[in-house]
Amino acid sequence: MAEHGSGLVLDGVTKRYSSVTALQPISIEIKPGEFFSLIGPSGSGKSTLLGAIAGFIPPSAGRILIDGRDIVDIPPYRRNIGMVFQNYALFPHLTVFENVAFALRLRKLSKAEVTEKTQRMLDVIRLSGMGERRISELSGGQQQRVALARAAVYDPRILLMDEPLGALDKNLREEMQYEIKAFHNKIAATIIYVTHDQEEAAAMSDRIAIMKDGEIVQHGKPRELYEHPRNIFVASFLGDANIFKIHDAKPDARHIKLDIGEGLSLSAPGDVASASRHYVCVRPESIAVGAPGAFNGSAGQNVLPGIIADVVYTAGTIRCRVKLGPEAVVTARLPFQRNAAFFATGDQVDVRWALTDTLLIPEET
Amino acid sequence: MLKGANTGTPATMRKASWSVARLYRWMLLAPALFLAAFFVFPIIRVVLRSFSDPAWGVQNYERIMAGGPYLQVLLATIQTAATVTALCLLLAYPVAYVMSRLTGSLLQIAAACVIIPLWTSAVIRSYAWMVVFQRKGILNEALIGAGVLDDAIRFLPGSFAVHVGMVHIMLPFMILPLLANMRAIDRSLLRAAEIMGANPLVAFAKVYFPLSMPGVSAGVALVFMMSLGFFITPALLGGPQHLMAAVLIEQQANVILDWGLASSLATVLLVVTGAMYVLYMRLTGNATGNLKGAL
Repeated sequence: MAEHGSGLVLDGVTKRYSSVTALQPISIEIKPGEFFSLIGPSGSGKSTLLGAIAGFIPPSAGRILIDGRDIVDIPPYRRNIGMVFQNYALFPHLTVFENVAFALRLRKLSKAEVTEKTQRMLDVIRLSGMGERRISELSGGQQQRVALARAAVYDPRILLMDEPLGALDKNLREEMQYEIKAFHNKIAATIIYVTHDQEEAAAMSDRIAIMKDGEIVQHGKPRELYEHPRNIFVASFLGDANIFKIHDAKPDARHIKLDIGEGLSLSAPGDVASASRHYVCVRPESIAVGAPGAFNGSAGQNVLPGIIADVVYTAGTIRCRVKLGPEAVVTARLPFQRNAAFFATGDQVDVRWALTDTLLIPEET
Repeated sequence: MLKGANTGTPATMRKASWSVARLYRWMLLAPALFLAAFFVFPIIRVVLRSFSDPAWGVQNYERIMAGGPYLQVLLATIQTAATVTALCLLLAYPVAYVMSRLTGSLLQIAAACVIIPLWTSAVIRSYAWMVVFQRKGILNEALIGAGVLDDAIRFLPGSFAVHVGMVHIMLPFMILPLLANMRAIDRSLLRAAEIMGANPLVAFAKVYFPLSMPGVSAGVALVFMMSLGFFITPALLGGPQHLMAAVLIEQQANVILDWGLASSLATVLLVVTGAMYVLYMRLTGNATGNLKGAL
C-alpha cells in the first residue's frame, strides 16, 4: 500500500454559474497523509469544492495540483482519486466482493491480484465472510464500510468523503468515526472529508476549513479554530458560544471595560482600538455557576449576577441558562456530578469566567 | 366495566377480520366473474375446439406441423415479432435515456410526444401509413422528387411497411417501461464508476446497462407478446405476402370457416405467448417474490 497519500494544492479554484458564484477563489494546501475536513452550512460550497477535486464539476478558474501536477483538464476516471459518496453509491447489481473489486478489474490486474487485494480489504472492514452478499442484504454500517473499502482498495492518491456518515444514526456515526480514523491510519491516505457536523470534523481531522458562501472563512487545527475563531460565524459554527455585541469600550487599568448593553459590563484583555465593531464570545464550558457571592474576590475574572432560566441534564453535562438582564442570557455547560444538588429555575446565582476566556471577535473578517 | 374491557380483545379481533385487505379481495369477485365468463371460458372453448373440430384428436395440429403455409405463417409471425421488438429496443433505448435525464416542462413535452400517439387508434395510424407508402404516396413522391428513385417502389402490401407500421405503434410500449426503469437509476452510481477509473463508455456498459435490464426485459416482453397477436397493421399493410398469425386465424374463422384449424392456430399462439411470459418471469426472477409481497 501507499506509503502516504498525495499532497493537494488548490490555487484560486473558482466556480461561477451564470448568475451565482458557487466558489470564490479558494487557495489552500493539503499535506500528504493529512485528514482534512471541509465544514460549513449547506450551500456553503463544500460539496462543490469536493466535486471540483473529483473532476465532476469543472472549475471556472484556478488550478488543482496533485503532487505538483495540474489535474483540472484530466477527466475523473484518470485522476486516481477515491470517493465515498453520501448515499454510498454502491452498485446494487453486484455483490460486496464485486463492488470492492470493481476498480481493480478496471485496472486490468491479474485475477489472483484482484482476489487478494479485495480479500485483504474485506478483512480490513471485517466483512470477509460476506463477499457474496448483495448490497441490499447489508446494514447501513456495513454498506458504509463497503463504500470505504471500494474507494480505498486501489490505493488512490486522495480519498474524498462526502458526508459519509450522514445517513447513519448517532451511535453508529460515532462508532464509524473511530472506524474511519483507524482506516485512515491503516491505509495512510490523504483524506478530504466533507461534513456539516462540526463535532464529527473536530473529532477526526488534522485540520478543518470552515466554509461559508463559497469561501473558506478560516482553516487550521480544530483546537485553534475553537480557541481563536476569526469571526462570529466561526465562533458560533464550531461549538456553542455566548455572543454579546459590544456597545462601548473604555480603558480600565491593564484591561478594557466593555459595555454590552442592558447595563452589563465586562472586562477583557486588549486595548480599546481592538474592540471597535467587535463581539464578545464566551464558551459555555468556561463559565462557572455559583451561589451569590461565591466568587467574590476572585481576580482576573468576570463575575455577573443572574437568575437561572432553565437547567437541562444531558449525557455527562448539565446545560443551564442564566438570565443576566431582560434579554441577555448566558449558557453554561458544567460537568455532571453524581448526587450533587444543582440550582433550580429561578435561583439567584453568580456566573464567572476568566478574562482570558473572554474572546473579542470581529463580525466580519 | 371490567367485563367490558375483557371482551375488548375478541371485539378487536373480529374487527380485524373485516380489514381493508379482506374487503379488497371481495371487490375482486365481480371482475373475476366477468373475466371468467367472457375471457377464460371462451379461451377454454377455443382450446377444446382445436381438439374436437371436426372430430376428436390432434388432426388440426398435425395439419399445422406438417409444414406448408400454416407453420410458415407461425414462424414468420414469431420472426416479425422478434424483429419489431429488436428495432423498438434499438430506437427506444436512446430516446428513453435522453428522456430520463430531462426535467420539468421538457420532460412533460417529451412524455406527451410518446403518449399522445397512443390515443389514436392503431387502425387510423395504419391507414396513415398506407397513405405514406402508396404508389403515389408521400414517400415515393419524395424519393422520386429528390432523384433517388426513377420509378415508384411498390411498398404495399409488403413486409417493410408492416415492420415500419408495427414499430411505430409498438414504440411507446418499449419507451415507457424503459423510461420508468431509467429514471430510477441513481446517477451517482455512474460518478462512482467514473471516479474508480471507468471512462463513460465502460461506466455505461458495466453499471448503467445492467441496471437498465429490468426495463429492457419488461419492454421486450410487452412488445414481443403484443406483436405476436397483432392484427390491424399486418392486415392493412401486409396482404398475402406478409401474412401474420392473427390475420391467418381471422381468415380461417371468418372466410374459410375452418374453426378447428383457426382454434388450433390460436392455441399455438397462446402457448407461445404464455411461454414468453413464463420466460420473462424466470429471467426477472422475482415474480413470486413480488406476488408474495403484494398479497
